[in-house]
Amino acid sequence: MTPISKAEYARLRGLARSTVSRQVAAGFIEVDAAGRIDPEVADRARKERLDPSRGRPAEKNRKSEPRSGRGFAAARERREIALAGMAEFELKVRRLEFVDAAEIEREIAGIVLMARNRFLSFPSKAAPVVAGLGILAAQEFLKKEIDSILTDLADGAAGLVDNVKPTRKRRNTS
Amino acid sequence: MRVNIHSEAEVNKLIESRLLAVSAKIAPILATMSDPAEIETLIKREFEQALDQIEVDLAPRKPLKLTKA
Repeated sequence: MTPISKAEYARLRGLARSTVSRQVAAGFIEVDAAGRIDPEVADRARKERLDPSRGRPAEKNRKSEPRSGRGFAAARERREIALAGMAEFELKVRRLEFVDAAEIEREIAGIVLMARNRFLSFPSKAAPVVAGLGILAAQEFLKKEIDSILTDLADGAAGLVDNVKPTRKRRNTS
Repeated sequence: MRVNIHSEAEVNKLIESRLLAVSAKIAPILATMSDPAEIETLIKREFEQALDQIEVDLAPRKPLKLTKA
């Protein structure tokens, strides 16, 4: 096709002259030695190289980071990315990949309180038995009692903890 | 920032290991005692100290809203 001037090409395609000049300068549109444009070649080049929705260079491998600009589009992009992040986080919460830390803290405080109550009532029962035992027998007795109390606590704590940590195991009492 | 939210298994393990250490520590002393009241006092004091320390070790180091499970 016969080469035409940049101004004519701009008029034929409904573009601003400055847009065509900018795209020529950026190398998106090729010109001949006289600075004239082959419309068919230019159309193909623009189709391949430019973002058709914006008339700007297509951004290959664009990262998902928000733009650092201050314009409305940049602000909207940052907002959309933030909303997507929040939605993703909310999904993880629903899937229990994240749990409420305060809830876990409350559960653990409950377990410790139960442990305290059980272990501090234990010495009065243990004292008459331990009196007169040898070192190994005393140690064995205490170990057995501690295991027994912890097993009871693990069973008692099941209801407290299962709602947030479903994978608990019964202690081995052997 | 360090987050110290413990699982139930970790809590149980911690309590168990601390109290077994206490029992190993006091067993030789208990073997020399015959008065049940003294034995009770000793066991109670040692268990109380161990449980206090367990509670301190399990306390959160920073306020958290959410943490990884």
